[in-house]
Amino acid sequence: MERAEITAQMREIWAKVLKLDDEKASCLTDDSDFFEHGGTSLMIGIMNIIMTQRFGRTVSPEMFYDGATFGRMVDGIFAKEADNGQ
Amino acid sequence: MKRLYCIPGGGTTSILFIQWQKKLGPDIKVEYLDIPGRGYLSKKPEQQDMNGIAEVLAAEIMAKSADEPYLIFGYCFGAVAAYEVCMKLEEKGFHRPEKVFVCGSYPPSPREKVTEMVSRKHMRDELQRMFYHMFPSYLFKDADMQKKVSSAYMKALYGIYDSAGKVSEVSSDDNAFSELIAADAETVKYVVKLANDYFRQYVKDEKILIEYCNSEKPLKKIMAPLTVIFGRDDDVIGDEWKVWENFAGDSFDPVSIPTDHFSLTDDMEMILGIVTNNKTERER
Repeated sequence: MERAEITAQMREIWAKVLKLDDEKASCLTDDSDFFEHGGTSLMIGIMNIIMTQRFGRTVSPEMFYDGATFGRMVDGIFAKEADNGQ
Repeated sequence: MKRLYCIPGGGTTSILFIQWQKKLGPDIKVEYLDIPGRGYLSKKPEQQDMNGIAEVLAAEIMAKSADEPYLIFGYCFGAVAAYEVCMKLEEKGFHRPEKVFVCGSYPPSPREKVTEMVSRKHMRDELQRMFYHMFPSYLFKDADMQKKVSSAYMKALYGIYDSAGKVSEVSSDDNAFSELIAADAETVKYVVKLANDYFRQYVKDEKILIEYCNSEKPLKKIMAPLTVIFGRDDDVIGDEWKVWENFAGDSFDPVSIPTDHFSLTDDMEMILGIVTNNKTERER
């Protein structure tokens, strides 16, 4: 899966889990922080379920402690996709 | 630098404390002491008892705070783990924490034997409230759906427990959910999976807690100032929080907050205020 496709899907996931309307979802940038947008531990659980369904993988749990930004999550999934493809 | 080591409750992770660092500023560094195998310590091997958990967590503290003051905060299961961590650090001759905070927790040796939460039929209303607490209304189409899904899940869970004598996975294919699946299959499946994931971890942690709390052990005290934070409406712990005084080898400072057991962490800012000594309501 291309990075642009992962980005688009991740935007949908954030919008769904964080209950963002279209305008807020479209304003997400690589630096947007999961917890600043109202993320909670429960939402991480929901994100993990949806990411597993869509990508077959989740981001590492440590990422949520060390800068849980939109861009890092996309990168995390993209890197795992790339590893998987090798 | 002073570090604040935070140990979460059973079935959860230290994400609970994720906002604390920003509120604390640069003078105190929040350290996430998860139950090994989970959350921030997901790469550490899982442990089968409190002794193993405390060994791993004590090693984390010793590696990071060899020459610096530190604080320990434990919530529920994490509070009992915090006690055992203090015992390990003492055994190893490591310097003592500046303060220890235990919140919403049984003492290491309660007066009454600890039993499984699900086995306590008088606690089932409180567990139902926990379900509401865990799965808030915004997850559902409306409040009616929230009520029906949580009721169906807990009914199925109790049904399994009452017939099999243990908690095991609830299926979203269970008849209890058939009408709800027709209304909103996606949400029902998420919630059932999340609830199953939570209870799977919770049951494992609860087993470790029960074995530890109900075991015979010598009375050893925490040789650091001990603050006990308890909910005035906490029917799970009741007044067992008072027993913590027996484990205080330095000062003992009880602080009450106006919540039940499952809402204790709703206002993390209030709890952080107690930890930083800015906001307290003390009782003796």
